[in-house]
Amino acid sequence: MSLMIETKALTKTFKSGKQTVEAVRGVELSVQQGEIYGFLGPNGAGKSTTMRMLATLLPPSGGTARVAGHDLGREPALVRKNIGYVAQAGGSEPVMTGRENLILQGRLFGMDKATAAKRAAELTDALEMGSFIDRTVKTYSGGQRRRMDLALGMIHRPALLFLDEPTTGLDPQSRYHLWDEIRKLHAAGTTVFLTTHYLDEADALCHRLAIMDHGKIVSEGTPASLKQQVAGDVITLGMSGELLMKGETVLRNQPFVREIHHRDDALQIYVERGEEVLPNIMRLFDSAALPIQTVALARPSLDDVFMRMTGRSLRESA
Amino acid sequence: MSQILKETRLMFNWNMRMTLRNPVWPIFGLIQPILYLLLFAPLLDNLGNGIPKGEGLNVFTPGLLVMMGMFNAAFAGIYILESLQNGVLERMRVTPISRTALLLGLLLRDVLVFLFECAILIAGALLLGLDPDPFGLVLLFAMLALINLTIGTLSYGLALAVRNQDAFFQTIQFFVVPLQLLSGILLPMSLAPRILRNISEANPFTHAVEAGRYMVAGNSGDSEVFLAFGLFIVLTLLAFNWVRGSLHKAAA
Repeated sequence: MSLMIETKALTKTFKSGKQTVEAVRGVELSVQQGEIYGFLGPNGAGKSTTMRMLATLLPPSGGTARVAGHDLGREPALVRKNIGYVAQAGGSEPVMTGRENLILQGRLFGMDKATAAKRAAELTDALEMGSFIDRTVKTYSGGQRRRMDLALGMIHRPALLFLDEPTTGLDPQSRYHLWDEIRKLHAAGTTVFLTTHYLDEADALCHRLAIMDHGKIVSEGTPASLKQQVAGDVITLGMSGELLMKGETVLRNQPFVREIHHRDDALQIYVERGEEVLPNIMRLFDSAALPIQTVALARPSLDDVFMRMTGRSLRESA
Repeated sequence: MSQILKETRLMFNWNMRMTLRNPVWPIFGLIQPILYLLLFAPLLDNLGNGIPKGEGLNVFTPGLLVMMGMFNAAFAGIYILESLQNGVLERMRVTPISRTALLLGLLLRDVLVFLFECAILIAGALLLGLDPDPFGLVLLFAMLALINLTIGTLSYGLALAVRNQDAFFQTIQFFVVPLQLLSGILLPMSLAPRILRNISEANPFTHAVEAGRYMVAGNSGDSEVFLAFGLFIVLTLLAFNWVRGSLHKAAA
């Protein structure tokens, strides 16, 4: 197995007026060939900025990277030949048909007309775009457009495909359809690097992922290993906001409690064997005369991992 | 080099196909000049004061063409703003295509469309009584192409620099209207008070309009003609270099 992406202390700082914004702060990353690797994090975490640097769109302020076997700083042209990049905004020309867009894209990568047309037809079949490929792109639905974008990114059979928020704004059916397409790409040997702020997407699609917050990778691993880090179960007690502090006082010294987090109007308690502990907690709150409105017991999710790493919920910050 | 030519041709064909599919802008760009030709030019014949009787169209048409070259090209950058928005520019920048070819493919399409508009307008002016020197007319086309190229390049550069519709339109308004008023496009600057005349000497478009009038009148050897060509060749090169640099850096 060789490395498809390897970065060392990759940083990006922007100047806006007198302020300096550190968008990416020392990202260390290695992505194996053949992986689906994900960046999970809220908007503004630095996911897209990192991806745009790796895709040669943005010069890094510091650090080094090798992408698809070439040095990002010294050989950006060779990097470009070997990667596909699908931006959040897509990138197809709206007043032209899907097929015309695909053929042009092929020719931008140096194919002759006939080869580009053949490749466009192949992708049209593979992504089931036959029913709309000869209409102008501006008439496409969100899902159709996204498939079109994906096809544009794949025209030259890149070894590495970057997908920036591939399913943002899609209806559930189109999302699942796109996930299937990404899995097919992976099955055909393509390495996929994607960013997402959807937990279920990261969980369902990625072999490994990095959780990103404030420009840094706060945790990295397989979805399962990340969830194991949190370990144990999460009990969520819904109660009115002003009682949260009292609730925490009641629980703080109990031996079964590992961690307590506040949400808007709920306490999240990390415990082992939640089903045994729950009756205890109910009794404690009863005797302290603290009313509980709702109770939930959950196995750890990636959101819990994110919560543990950053102290915030991804759902709230996304 | 041949690679850049190949890529430029590819992008030129693509942009041309887009224009032909929806030729609203080129047609729209002709409406205002045609109105000037029909409703304003006839007034000049009886103005006296520097415009020989019956020469109104010969004096006015070159200015009108320069104005059209200026205005139509000034808004070319809208396409860049759209392409930043819908991701087209970014998608192309991740392909191996040369930045020079991307830019030339747009500019050459713009120039060709513009020269076509000029031809229509000149045909109209000929019907109304324009009486140009044939060689001067050919030379005029070349100068108009250069002007269109300069302003188009600056417009693309401006769009890349400001990245925002409001700032883009405000900047253009800020420059284009004074440049137009101080170039003697509508009326010769010889009618202006001395101070305005002096200011207008620093305006490249003044020289373009003057040169255009010499060409139409058959005095293509006048130093004003050489000055105008020299000015706009230098301006085009400077602008092109600037924009190519910002295309390299451009990030959305």
